[in-house]
Amino acid sequence: MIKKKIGLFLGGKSSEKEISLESARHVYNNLDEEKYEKILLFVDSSNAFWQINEPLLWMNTTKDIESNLKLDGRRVFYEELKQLVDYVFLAVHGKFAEDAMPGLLEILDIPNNSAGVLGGAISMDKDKQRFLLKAVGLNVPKYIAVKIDDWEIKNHKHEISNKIQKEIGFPCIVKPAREGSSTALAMPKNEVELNMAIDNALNFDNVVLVEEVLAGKEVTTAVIGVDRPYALLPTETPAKGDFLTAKEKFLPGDARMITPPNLSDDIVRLIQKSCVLAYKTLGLKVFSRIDGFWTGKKFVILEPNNPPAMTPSTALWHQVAETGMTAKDFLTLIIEISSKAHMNKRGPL
Amino acid sequence: MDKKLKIGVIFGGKSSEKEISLATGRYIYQLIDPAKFESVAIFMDEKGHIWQIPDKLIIQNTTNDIVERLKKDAKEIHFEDLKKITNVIFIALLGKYGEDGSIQGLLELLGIPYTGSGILASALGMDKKTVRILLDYLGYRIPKGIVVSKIEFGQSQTKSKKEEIKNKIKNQIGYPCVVKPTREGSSVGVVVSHKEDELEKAFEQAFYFDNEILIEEYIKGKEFMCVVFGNDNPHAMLPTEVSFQGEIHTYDSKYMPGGAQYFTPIRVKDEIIKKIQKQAQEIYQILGLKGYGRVDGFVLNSEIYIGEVHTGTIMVPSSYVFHEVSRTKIQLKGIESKIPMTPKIWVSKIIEMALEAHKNKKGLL
Repeated sequence: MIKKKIGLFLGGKSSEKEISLESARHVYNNLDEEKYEKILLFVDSSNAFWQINEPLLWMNTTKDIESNLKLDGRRVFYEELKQLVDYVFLAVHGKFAEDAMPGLLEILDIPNNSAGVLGGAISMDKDKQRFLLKAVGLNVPKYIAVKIDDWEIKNHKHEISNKIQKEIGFPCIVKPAREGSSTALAMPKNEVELNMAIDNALNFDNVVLVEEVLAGKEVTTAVIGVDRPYALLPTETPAKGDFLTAKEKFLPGDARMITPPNLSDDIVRLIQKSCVLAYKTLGLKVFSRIDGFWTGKKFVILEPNNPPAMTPSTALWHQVAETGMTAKDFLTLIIEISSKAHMNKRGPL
Repeated sequence: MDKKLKIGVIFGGKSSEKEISLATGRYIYQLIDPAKFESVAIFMDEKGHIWQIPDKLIIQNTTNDIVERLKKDAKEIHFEDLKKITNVIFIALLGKYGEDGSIQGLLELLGIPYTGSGILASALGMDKKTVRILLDYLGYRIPKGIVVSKIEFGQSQTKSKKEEIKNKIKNQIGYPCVVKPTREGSSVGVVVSHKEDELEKAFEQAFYFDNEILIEEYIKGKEFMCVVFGNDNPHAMLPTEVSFQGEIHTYDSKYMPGGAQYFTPIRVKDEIIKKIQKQAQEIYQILGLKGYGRVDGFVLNSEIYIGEVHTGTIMVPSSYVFHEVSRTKIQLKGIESKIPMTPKIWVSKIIEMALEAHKNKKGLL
């Protein structure tokens, strides 16, 4: 049997590159070697690609890898990729990885595990994605989008701040519209803190969201598929502090995860149904992990992540295990459904 | 003056609109103001590879003629080397891969400023289904429509599912109806069906271009296109009315010089023109378009229907875009009174807006 050549991408330019390295190691260890030949591709901080050998994968940080590239890596130009691999498995996360890489792979015509050009871009932009989710009747946190043009240039700070206090109240959550993994996330408790938080978040994006703090259970759910997507069993991820920090999300042993969540079957089904509807509405493809909140009365969608972190202890693997699949089975499934979808597509996935 | 900025005009590509893209790219290449810029012609072949081509290839009639001569007369370049030969990319690619966020994603990875909208706005503009959900939710009037997927229709073994879809069209949309792929431009794959018998054939044609199709009510009104330009504070130009033979504005009537009649502004009351401009500008901002774009629609019994949003547009000498452009007055540095825009100024403006948008962006456009 000819093995399919899988280009496993890691690293990248975003703040999530260390998580990417850990995701990639886990994927590397679990890809079915009888079916697939693995080719490691490192994305450096200028978005150039390098083919690296396995020993580099076990370096401490992406910085260590980067400093060894010239010696132990081989530069791969974008248009060479198609000759080198049959499929790209992205284990890169965040900016550029989620929203820009799908476009490159479409132009080069290489099947991959991304959520697609539209799906990828829309899942990075929480402002636009919430419009769509509301339009189909799903719940999203109450929020106000603050634009840099209004805040700094037109100097409507006072009016905006008043509106936030009236409609959202304190404490509230402030975050850039398009950042993941708790970057520049703050929870101001008064006007001074609010202004500082908005100023800071505007360093990362030109639109900042100010949203209500939700009380209840934080739940995350993987959704898989292209034409007929389905949800796995959700995981409850209780936060220790005000919200889940990057540490709690990714530090082994630092987060509690309960799969399935301590909720009735009816509520679990409602959560699954809502996540599938969100997935379809946002045009997501292949797979995603959708974060949400059960408030006790309703299910509120926070945001989708795709590709989600695939570090060994993340909620995704708990949910996969619940189905009876191993990590190896799951990776094969993802590669198979996305390969088929790319074969049948008309234009970008 | 400082060293001139190098503008790489990219055209050709992988979509059904590559010939229109060639014509547009050639015209833009010729319109780039040599007093301000240096221009570089970049041709994308069907594999997505890019070539720097000389003038004698740009004036070729078809993309095939160019392809035949690439090896001999042009130089293939690495995407990563684009930054060495250009400072800004003018995207003259149209349709799939060019207008839908794909090339925009690639250019974001490379860190090169480009004209027009970013990844998300481009992908949204291309996806008629998603744009409809948004516009409907925001309270704009849109033609009634339903989306049917190939899986739903084609693979259903039972006849009943097909009947169900046909009944839905009869009851919710009625005849005639317009059948189109959810993601194509230039009226490619668009068919008007007058009765149920014609539906399957129309579906077949539309499904050739996409796995999801849209069936919309046929609005027998005045059809308009309204070009909007700008970044954070955009300006809508005077909308153009198009009148054509037949039921829809086809690929041929769109691109044959004289293939249709255009009226700028559209022949409706002034207050409706203002309303069209206001809606076009709002939609442009809500979807996050940058640089320039276009909102199309219809006026029927004084009601405005929003049809489609486009982030790219054909630009050849006979294009209505330039009717709208020439009726727009603009303030230029060093000149006191406002002057009418020319195609050349328009192209310079698009480049300037790209520079501004990419300078101010955080992360991706």
